[in-house]
Amino acid sequence: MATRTKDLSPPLAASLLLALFVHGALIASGTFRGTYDAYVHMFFGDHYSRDWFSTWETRWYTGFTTVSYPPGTHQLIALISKAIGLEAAFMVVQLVGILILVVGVYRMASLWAEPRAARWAALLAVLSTSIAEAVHVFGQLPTIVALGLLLNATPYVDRWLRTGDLKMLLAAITTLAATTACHHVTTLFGSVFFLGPIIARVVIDSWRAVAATRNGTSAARFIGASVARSAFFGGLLVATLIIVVLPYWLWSSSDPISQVPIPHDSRANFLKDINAGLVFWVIPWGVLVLIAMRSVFVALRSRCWPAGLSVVLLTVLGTGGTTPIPRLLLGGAFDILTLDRFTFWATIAILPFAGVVVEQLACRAQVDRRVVVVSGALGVLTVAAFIFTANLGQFRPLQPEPIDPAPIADFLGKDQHDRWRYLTLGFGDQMAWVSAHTTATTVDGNYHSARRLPELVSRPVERLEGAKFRGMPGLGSLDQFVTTPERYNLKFVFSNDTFYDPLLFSNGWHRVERLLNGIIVWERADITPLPDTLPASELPPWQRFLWGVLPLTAVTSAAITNGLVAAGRLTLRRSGCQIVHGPNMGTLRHRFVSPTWLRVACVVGVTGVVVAGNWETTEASAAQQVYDFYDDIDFGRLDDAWERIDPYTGPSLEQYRLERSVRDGLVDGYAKLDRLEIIESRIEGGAGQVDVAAHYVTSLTAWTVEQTHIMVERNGEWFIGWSATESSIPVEQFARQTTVEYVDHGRRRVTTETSDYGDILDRPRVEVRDHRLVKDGAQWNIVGQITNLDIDPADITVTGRLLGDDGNVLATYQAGEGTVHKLLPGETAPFRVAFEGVATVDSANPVASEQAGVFDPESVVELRLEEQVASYQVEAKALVTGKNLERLVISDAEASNVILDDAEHTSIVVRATINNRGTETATIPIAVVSLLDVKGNVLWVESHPLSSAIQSQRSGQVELTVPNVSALEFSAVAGEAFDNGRSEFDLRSFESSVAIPVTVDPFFADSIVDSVSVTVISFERGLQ
Amino acid sequence: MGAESPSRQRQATRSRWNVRFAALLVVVVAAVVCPNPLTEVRAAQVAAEPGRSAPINVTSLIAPEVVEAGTAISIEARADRELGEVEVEVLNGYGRLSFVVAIVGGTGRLDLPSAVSQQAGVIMITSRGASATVMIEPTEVDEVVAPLVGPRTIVADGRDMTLAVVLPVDRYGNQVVDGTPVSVEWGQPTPFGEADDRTVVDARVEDGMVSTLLPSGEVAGATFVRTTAQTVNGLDVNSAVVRIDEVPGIVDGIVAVAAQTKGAADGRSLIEVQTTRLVDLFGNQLADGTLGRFIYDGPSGRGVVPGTVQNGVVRVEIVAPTVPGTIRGYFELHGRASNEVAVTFASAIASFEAHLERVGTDVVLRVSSVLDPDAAFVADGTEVQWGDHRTQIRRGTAEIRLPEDVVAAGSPPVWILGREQQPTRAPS
Repeated sequence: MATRTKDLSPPLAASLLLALFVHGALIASGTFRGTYDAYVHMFFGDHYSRDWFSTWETRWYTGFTTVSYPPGTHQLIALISKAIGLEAAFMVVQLVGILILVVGVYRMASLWAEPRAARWAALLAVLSTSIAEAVHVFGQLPTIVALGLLLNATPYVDRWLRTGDLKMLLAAITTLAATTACHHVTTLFGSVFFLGPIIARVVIDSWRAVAATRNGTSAARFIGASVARSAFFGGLLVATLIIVVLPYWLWSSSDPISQVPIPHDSRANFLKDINAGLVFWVIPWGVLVLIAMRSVFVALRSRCWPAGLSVVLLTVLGTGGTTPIPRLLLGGAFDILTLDRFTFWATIAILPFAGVVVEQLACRAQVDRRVVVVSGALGVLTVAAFIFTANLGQFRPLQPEPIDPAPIADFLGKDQHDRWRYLTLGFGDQMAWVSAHTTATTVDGNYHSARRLPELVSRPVERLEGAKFRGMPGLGSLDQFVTTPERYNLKFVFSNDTFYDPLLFSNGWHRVERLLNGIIVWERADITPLPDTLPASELPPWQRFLWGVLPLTAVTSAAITNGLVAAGRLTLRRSGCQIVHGPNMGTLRHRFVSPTWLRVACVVGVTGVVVAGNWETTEASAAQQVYDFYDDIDFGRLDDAWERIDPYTGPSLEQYRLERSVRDGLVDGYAKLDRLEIIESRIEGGAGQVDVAAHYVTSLTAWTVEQTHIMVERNGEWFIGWSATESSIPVEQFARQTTVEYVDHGRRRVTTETSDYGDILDRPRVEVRDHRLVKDGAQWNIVGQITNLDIDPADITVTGRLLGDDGNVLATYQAGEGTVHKLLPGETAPFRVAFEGVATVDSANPVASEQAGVFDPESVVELRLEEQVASYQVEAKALVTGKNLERLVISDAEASNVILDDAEHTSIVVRATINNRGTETATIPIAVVSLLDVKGNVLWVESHPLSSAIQSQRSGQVELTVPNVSALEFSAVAGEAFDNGRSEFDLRSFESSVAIPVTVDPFFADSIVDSVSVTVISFERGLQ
Repeated sequence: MGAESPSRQRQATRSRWNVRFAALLVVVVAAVVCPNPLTEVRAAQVAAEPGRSAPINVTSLIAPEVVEAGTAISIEARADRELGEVEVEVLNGYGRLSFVVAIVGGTGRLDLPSAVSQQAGVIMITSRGASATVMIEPTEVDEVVAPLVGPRTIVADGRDMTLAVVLPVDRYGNQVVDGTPVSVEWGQPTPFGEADDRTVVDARVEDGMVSTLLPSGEVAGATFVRTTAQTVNGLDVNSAVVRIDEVPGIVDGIVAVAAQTKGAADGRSLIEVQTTRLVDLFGNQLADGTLGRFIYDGPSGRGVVPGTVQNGVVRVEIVAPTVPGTIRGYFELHGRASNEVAVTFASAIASFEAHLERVGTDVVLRVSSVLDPDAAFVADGTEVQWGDHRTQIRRGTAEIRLPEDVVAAGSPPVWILGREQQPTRAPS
């Protein structure tokens, strides 16, 4: 006989108060500002706040339909924001959602366990790390609210199935309709994992009850009633799911998602990717993991086994790529779904049984003092894990520092800047918050399911603004936008990350100003503004009406029916819905004992995993020391890096810091270490060498630096040998230099009127000196030279067009990298228009493409033309500029033909010294190399960013290798050039003689490359 | 009154409801069919008046054929009735206006205010049965809008040109009548100052505008353009002045000069090379900022040194080579080359000491006492090469350490700024 014990479980009201206090305080402190999704939901709220019945949002992705996401929570935010603003409205809805979820957990738990356990479950929900993570780290709102509503519906469903009470059916359906209005996926999967077990248990219970009566006729009737009710409920649920968000289903069926799968760490192997495992498994489970097995046993060994089975299934699905089971179960959906939601649901579904375990502990603690210690420890751990999780964003920031959107909104609002599109870089999810403050439009967005731009859906990149976090695939997608901004009316880039500076600079963008919030504004000149009226693909009026009315009606109906239940008008309590169907505590206490072998297996297994995971790191080796050295430098741990340098030959810490501080350039200042490859480790005795290849990702290209490190062993520990650094001294200690500066006043008056004709400067006269069509493999290129004939510096835009037989335009592209975009008066420089297809791998079915997600920085997206190229056009236009006109000096330059690997791979190699005679550091020198024929016409153009900066009054050695032209195919197709829209306007182009003659080896006697022209431009970081 | 039977009461009630329903129906129908009952009432009243049983027809509208803009217009309407009112509509450029004219004795008068005729063009006057048109002509020139001139930067080479377009208007903003005389005047810079050389072109308005080509002069500077028109009173009306720039053209000739013809091949000294004053064919000094490049060939290869015109001169510095020899170069600007200048660089190293020393299993090369021709130590950072190995002089010395087996094959000479020397072996 079980011992009667005191009820220590906290009342539901106490749990709700605790939730209100703890989560309310956290939300009020602004944890949501560092989350992933909060600002997205606020943006959607802002959309409905601006136009309730609009289903088209022009501010992202050049326009997308908002029916792509259920609007329940967003419309609530919009409604409340009218009174208290967007942020506060979000906070209110989020907090209410948490309270609904706690109540929902209690009510669901009441179905599976006795009230004491249900109350413990509610408390566990308040302190749940998975809820804390979902709310305070991920910023999930619809998921929280929808799950809360779904759980609140469970007792109604149970009651309807058991008694056939129509009022309960009404309450269930309205609550599930509200669930759908907030997050349809929760209804979809929740029906399986939360409602499915209830239905199963009711049917089984009715079967058992009938079996007990041994009356065949009544048995059939009884079971038939249960099954019929289940079927009726199922049909009604499906109908609700369809009707409440009908426009969503119509849209998704007519415009299916064509997005290439975006990698998500929840699909990773958690044993290999420890960080992913931590975020998507360890943290959500938290302390629950200690009692999870016991809880599952509680469920599986009782009549609650359907719910236990659901927990097990959810848990397995939540393991991502750790086991092959989720992929087997989900099939193709594995690459689309984010699997962390299964873990989230698992941690909620298990709460009733965790409540049972806690209640067991509470009971046993009253008779066994040892259990008090265990229970106390678990309690402390639970609270600690909750605090840690809720403040994870403080320990390890997931977002950039908060950015004040007001200066950006002001910039876009003034001087008609919102007539062009903009792009944010390095904003994280705060880009949505910026969007919510302006009516200006961006090509990017923060809700990738809705985007349809081929350049975006064909790349596994979530947002352009964080392209670097997706490595080269992400940068490849961004590259198309900054190379051909005209196509998107993209004129402004707001950069919060200098990583992208080289990419922007080399594509002709220039910095305009630093805003009050520290954001740098980049601009591309000569971009056509957007039309006054943007195309909108609004849904038919009846669908917009449904979208504007039904979801909120569902939420309101749910509130009314649940309110009536709470008030006792629907007599839920009196009907006995919350009866104890849970396992008998006393029985369980004796029946459930985890086998010893299982405990031992668990300990051995966990220990094995940990040891196996750390085996490599425990081995001290020279190669490991080099690896750690690079890791320290990459993360800015210079003190740790210095300690790995040989103390006998290395510099002092102060000297080391000093030497690091003067290093700059593309690799040292703008690269992200992608991986370090230990090529060879030659260790003999106490010394040796380690050859490494450090693979960096820069915004321009992938970059590999190969280096050999001398290793010495001292007292059993390996150290890295040190080589002396550059010690030359400039000849002039204080250099003077005169320069010509330019300023473009723009408007001469402070007025909101459009610029007068007289305020606009003439377009500089530019002329395309020579041009030709070249095919490099499958890629079409137009190369040539352009001269600035004017007395003003010119910001040039070169556009190439491939034409068909009828003069129809087959393709249009702009010159990006490999072009000098800002020309001094009288300067001639090369250009290259490298045609690429819109970055879709397979427009018919990009998701299925084998190449999806693979991006080789050296490769190009092939341009598929509908017909043969019959002619081409190249158009150069220019605006006056005064920016980015620095040029570096070339000396000691020699060019020669060389054989690299075999006779089929020849190259032109230019060796030169680059001198910086300016007063600013040339942070990223870029050598634009063009191969010229005997007439001085361009054969080929390439851009070579240099890896290191060149300080003022100093120089650096370079070796530039350009593939010879033997592999190129020079097209005989005729071309036509237009200068500022006019053909052959001026014929005063200059013959330039600045080229470096190529020393021709007799082996290359038939080479058509006569000389090489090198122009070195430089990006200066300056004081910005 | 006796009590009625229930059936009669029901019948009475029903008939009352029928009446109410009928009345309601009438009101609804009236509201739909007669949106403005007052109009109907007024129509009924008019119809009831004697002589108004049929609408009045206007037999003719008499109006001036042509008037000047801004003039009041008097219109006479003749009707087929002696007494009554007619509605007259006036359509001008701003829209449709409606007037009611009283007919007394078969005629009526309508005086259109001057505001109606401010826009040049045709006014159409219509009434029931008749219509008339009045041509509104612009008045004399009142304002000459500043000419549109483009391009606003032309080359002062006597060949380039720009276009000036003038749009003279009257006081109401109407373009003036064709044939109105307008003068376009521009003053071009002279070698002695700006805007002294004036040119006047007399033209007449054609299709509402005057356009003329303005050829460039041969002196760079600012050219001022304005237009003048004469009113009927003989008064001149001037536009605002528009400035265009005449800029220098292609450089005519370049003369390069080197600040010195000899130097030391130390890889760091700077030699200044510059042009003389750069002018175009007409003696205009080139604009600041124009790119010029000094291209030279030396013992180490080719160099390209960009520079910009500043105050008419391009001045650049070339870095001394690391190998003795002569560099020969020229300036290139606008595709034209200057004369060639040559600078000879002698060896920057007079002597140095290089010793090999065995340290353990390694061999160490020590370089010291690196002196220039003036017996001074060369600067730190000077490169020392020993075979494929390089280092830099630091505090007067340099050291290269190699395993013995690397050196065993034979020690290459030590190279410093073009001077080679075999290292000596220190006694072991």
